[in-house]
Amino acid sequence: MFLADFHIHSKFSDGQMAIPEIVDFYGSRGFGAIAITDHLCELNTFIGTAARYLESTLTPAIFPFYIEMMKSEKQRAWDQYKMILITGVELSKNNILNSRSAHILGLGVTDWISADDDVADIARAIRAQGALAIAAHPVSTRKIEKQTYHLWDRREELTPMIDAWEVASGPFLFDEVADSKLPLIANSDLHRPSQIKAWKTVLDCERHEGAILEAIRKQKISFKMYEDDITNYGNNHHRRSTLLYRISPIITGNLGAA
Amino acid sequence: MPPLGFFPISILKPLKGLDFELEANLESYFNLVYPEYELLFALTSDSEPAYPVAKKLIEKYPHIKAKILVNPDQGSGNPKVSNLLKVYETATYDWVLISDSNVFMDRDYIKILTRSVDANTGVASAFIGGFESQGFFGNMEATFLNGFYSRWGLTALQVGIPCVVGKTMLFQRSVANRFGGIQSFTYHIAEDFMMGVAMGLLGKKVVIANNPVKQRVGIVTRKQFWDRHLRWGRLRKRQAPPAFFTEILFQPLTVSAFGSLFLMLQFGFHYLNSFLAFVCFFAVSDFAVMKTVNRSTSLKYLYYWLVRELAHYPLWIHIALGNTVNWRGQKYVIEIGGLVRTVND
Ligand SMILES: [Zn+2]
Ligand SMILES: [Zn+2]
Repeated sequence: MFLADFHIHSKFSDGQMAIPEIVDFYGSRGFGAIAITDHLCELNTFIGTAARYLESTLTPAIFPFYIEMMKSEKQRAWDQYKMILITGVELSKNNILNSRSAHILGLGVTDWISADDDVADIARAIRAQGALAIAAHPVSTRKIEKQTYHLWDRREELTPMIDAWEVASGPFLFDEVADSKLPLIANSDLHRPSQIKAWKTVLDCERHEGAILEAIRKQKISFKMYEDDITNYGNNHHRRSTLLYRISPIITGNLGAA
Repeated sequence: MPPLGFFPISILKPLKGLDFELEANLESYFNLVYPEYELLFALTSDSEPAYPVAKKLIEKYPHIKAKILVNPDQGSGNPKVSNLLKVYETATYDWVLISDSNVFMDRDYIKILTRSVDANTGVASAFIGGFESQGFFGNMEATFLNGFYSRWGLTALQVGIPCVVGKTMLFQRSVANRFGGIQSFTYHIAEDFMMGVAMGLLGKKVVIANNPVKQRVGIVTRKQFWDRHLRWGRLRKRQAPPAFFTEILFQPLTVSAFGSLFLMLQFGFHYLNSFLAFVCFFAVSDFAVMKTVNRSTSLKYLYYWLVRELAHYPLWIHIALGNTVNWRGQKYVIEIGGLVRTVND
């Protein structure tokens, strides 16, 4: 039996930690599998353009670095912690209307997918890579933030294309999803170390990416609220460096190549 | 964190064309005071004018480990990166220093640069200082480097955002390989900018050495001057559009114009007097920056400073109007995010 978290953000989008820090953070806590799922936003919309300028989304220019870094960290995560690191993305459609906003996790994605297509096409594109399509926080997250209801509104039509629906995001459990008889999964949606106090998925399978994705597909999983005291973690260093990283290209531009 | 201390370094030098004082520049690398280093010259062909120059120096300094590697396979992306791929693979040491051909190295420069490196350093870089400029556009070039770029570079450094400058990049291949090595910059026009970004994403630091590296400017033609700054400008624009489009508002003359307008409307100050006061303030502070970068900057640079500031407006408009650049005889289109591809006319 091992704990897993399949919804985590790094500095590649709006998370505070670098990928190696995330690996050490979860590895040192004995997790058996994690997926890093940075936002990959629509690039042809106004909000998407803003996200690109704020560097809170993966872009075609940065995506190869993401894949390469995940590859090398995958090896280290296994060698150092016997932890499986899965490459993921969170395909993010952000509209002013909650009913048009949707976040879909692709677990095991290694090739670029455009978030500009319809959600059904996105889910198909994810699965075409042998990856899992997961509906992220499909109902009210119980927090004051932008909500994403589009997938839930179309759940009957999308059921055959979605491998699992988040029944919990962070510390909140969603009764309406739990009661729906849809396939389920529970994740942190971790952006900061303190968000580790959250629902997690528990697996009992071989520590191997294929076996883990299959266990989710077959729903051979359970859920657990994870408590952890991390008052000494998430110090100012993280907060500061992330903020600076985010604003740096806006302030400085570039000093130029030779 | 304490500095790492000594480590052996492979110095990679991409050579293309014949720069001003190339021989003296290259020779400075054979006279470095550093316990262990090797020199690897990267060329695209043995008919390159730099080939005999490098060959002669290697024969002149047989005790220095040095080699020329010719790599004719040049892809369609960043020509500097393509030129470097072979020497990057061949280098003996894990620490590599990429250093441009028009850089002159002071004897103790590597020692100074390595002093800023600690266990958490991803890449160490340095400002460029324009030295020994000649003629009108040569002096304009030096003013651009030592004034405009150093001003923004120092400002960025002050607020904790160091910028990597491709003229000098010292890093470990084993660390860079965690994001794909320099090969991953093949289709990026600004390999230096991306190096800083990628190291940051890895959780590593970018450090800037205390001393600028010396670029010997020499004589620059009007076309060379304009093309280079058009290229750097379009690169800034595509890499960070918000920065580029707001940069014009923070130009000394823009701030002076609007600042004095504000003082006139709000407090009834005389417009022209306060405008001149503003301009003097910026000229003096930029002059101080230029003097820090190159101690031999004389008062005549105030003239080049003013001309450069005025020229910034047409240059900025020209930059804004397109996304293509000419680089080493080839035309490229720069995409948002700094990806680059060649275009044929
Ligand atoms: Zn989300
Ligand atoms: Zn998320």
